[in-house]
Amino acid sequence: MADAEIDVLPLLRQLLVFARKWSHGIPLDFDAVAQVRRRVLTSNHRHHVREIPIYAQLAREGDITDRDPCDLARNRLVLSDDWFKSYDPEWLDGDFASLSAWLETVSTVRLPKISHRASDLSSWRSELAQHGVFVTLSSGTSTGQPSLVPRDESTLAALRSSSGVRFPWSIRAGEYDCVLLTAAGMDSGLQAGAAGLASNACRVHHLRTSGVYEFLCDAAARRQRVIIFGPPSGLSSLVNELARASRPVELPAESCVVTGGGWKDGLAQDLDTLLDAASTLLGIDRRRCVDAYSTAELNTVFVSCANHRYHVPPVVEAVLVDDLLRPMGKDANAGRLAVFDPFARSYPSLATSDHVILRADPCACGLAGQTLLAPITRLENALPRGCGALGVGEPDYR
Amino acid sequence: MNARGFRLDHIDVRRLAGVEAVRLPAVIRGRFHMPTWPRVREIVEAVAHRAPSVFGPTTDGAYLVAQPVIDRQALEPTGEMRVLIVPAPDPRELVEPDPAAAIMELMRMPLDAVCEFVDAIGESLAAHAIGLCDTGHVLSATSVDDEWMHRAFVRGLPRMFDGEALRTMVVNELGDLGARRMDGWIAVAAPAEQGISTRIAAQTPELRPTKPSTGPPMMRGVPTTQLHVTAGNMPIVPVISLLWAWATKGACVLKPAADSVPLIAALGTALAEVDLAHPLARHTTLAYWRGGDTAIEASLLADGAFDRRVIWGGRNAVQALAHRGGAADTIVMRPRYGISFVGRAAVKHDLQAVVRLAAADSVVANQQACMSSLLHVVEGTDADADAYACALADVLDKWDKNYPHRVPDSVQGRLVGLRRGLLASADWHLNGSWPGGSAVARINRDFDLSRHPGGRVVLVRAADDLESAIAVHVDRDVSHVGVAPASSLRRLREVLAGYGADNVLPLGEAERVYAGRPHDGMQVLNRLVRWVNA
Repeated sequence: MADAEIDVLPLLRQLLVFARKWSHGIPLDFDAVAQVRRRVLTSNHRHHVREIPIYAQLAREGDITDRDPCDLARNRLVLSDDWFKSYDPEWLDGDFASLSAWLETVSTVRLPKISHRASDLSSWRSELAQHGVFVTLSSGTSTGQPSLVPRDESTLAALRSSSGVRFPWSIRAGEYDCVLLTAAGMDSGLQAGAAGLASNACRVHHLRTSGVYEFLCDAAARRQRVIIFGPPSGLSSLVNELARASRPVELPAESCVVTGGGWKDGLAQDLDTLLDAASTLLGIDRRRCVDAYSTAELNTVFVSCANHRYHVPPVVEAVLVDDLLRPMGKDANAGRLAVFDPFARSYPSLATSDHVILRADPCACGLAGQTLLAPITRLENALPRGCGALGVGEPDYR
Repeated sequence: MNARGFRLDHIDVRRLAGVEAVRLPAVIRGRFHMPTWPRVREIVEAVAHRAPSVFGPTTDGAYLVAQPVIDRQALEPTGEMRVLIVPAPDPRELVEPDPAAAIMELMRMPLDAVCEFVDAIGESLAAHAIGLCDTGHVLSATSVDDEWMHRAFVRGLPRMFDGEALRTMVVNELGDLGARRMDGWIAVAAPAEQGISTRIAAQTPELRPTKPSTGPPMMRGVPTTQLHVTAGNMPIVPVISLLWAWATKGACVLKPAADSVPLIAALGTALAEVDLAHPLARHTTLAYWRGGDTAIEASLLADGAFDRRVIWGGRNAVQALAHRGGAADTIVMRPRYGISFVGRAAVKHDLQAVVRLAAADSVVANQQACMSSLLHVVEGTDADADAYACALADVLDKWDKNYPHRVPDSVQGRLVGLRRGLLASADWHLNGSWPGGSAVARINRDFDLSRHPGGRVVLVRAADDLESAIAVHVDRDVSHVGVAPASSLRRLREVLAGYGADNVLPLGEAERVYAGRPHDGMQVLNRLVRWVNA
């Protein structure tokens, strides 16, 4: 395990540099990036087969060994994102020893023998963090059961830096005020991101407390740049509040709005309309009002541009997979999204539950590489069964 | 042609635009309606997506049901498409023009006549075995269900139309007295009490009736107008629903699911041969329309259009239909599933015997029916459950070899998703070329069985004792529970019923039926009759 890490760390650093350059529009040799990415993914595959017993079992069923290249795993061993829901939901009610043991079966993280004193999920996560295991939660809105994604320190570092993705208009740490649209808590990736932004901000205002309009007016008066961050539902509340205000807010043009997550909650208006409204009401350049796509398992973000495309940084590879989780042919342009993420050292790459249109053609915004067309939608849920059970995969009561 | 001028070959096959096109009738209150052949461009459009879909109505008023053709040996798609052409009915024709007259006519028909009619239908179906076979072929050509299941259905279809069995069903559900009340007014064996107004009037000379009523109270069963929407993919569903309608002398409109449309040809042909002038034939409609077609359903689901509605189907069908139709009594056959409870004693006594019984309950209808067992709760330790899972996997492997099943691609995808996702931590026993083959997964976590996609995948879970496992695993979504040994069945059946199971059966008898068996906890015939007091 240690050898693998020594081999792979310089490569990961190289990928971080690639991501940073790509973010800034600096031309890249995409083949070279892909080569490094594959080397890391192959190393990760070996690491995962050796360290994750369930993954090793699946590899055996797929006739794959730890010595095989990542391409073989990619073709036969894409996991479902429910991988991180394969625990007994009852354990969330207090059986943290079982949850910890389960983490070790689905990832490479290892914990010392500890007697858990945790009384709830949050204190359990804090306990694990003391041992270098960082668990992120998904919202669990699809199934009612959250994904628990364990990261080791290097995977967490990748998440915290968005695997190097940073845009030219990003505002330096300590040079902005921040409005957070997220709910209270530190459980989800979005909340962790919000906390990260807050830690580098001059002033922070949470939408859930009153006075956001006054906070923004004050920043405008001081010509202080502002980052507004959170789910679209939060932005929708903010936009409604600003629309009722007596006079508009004119923030410095370098301010930005970044939404993320929560897009499946169902909004009264589409995301573009919402971002248009935010741009108008806050005086922010529309190109700096973006949505960022990510998942609980992903260690980077795909940021949207004004051309309704989400840009995939070349350090990861977006692949469309079919119902059987096999990569689709080159002609396919729509399907279930899987992301091969070399920064996911502590767990294998997974398919998301999102249906996307994947494009490889150039985007008018100038950023190179793969893109996902908006909107990204959820896969359909399972069909029911009964005396009147239906042809599977067919519409109900045709 | 028969004496009344109806052709008996109501399955009319042609090749259009390189696609096999099958023209099928609707039977609307005793009259056959054949659709006009569609335009070539309409066929091309119907199959354009190479996926199951319903196109139409066409220019000439037909629905085109497009389905991929399945190779019957390999049970794999051949790449060809098949189109069924059925007439899009005029909704005004579907509703009885004079419901009161229809009810009175059906009310006058004795139960004996219903039984004779049903017998005659059964005989006609049996006599036209070749035509029935054709229907079976049309049914199976695009089905991913195994050939042996189709053969068994087609062979058994005539026997389902058995007058004596229908009479037993009526007697079992309505009781002997209720059955007689279907044919006339029968006195109620209870003293009648008059109400306050009548009693006051009797005490007041100027209000007292000069001739007080002295007759005993009477009751009879009165037929109803019935809408049956049978969204199931199993062709037996519309047959059951039709028999319910006839057993209650109902004036019925029955919609089969797209996959079962060819049944209309077989049943319609039998109706034509027996007697299209028979009151039951004249008040029976067998027609297909696309579920959700507002032009049709706005009429059929209007308040007062039918007295009773029977809705079979999945969540979408139930949500779309069950809350419409005003005061019509709606009987819903909703999505449910089966599970098995295997006691320690049964496993210890004869593991091989018990897994054979349990496997039979789990292969029913490729785990798509409400009686199909998806989860086996095994009393004992995890090691006991492991041994059980191994033995069960062996039996399922034998089922695969003797009676191979085809798992649709979408189901295979969801099974792979479970194997590499939510149930990744289970101990899996895979057979053959899984997910094409069967599997057993020994789990140690809760799992929402409504997410089980079917196929032949059985979940096994250990329980310290069966009784305490009931609260964990049984609720109103559980239709069938198979229990072994018999002593556990006797001990647990009331608790299982209390938690919501409607069928508590010996292990291995999930498919056990008898005439008049309750369905989804209801005696359906009772609800399809209007009980009138006189």
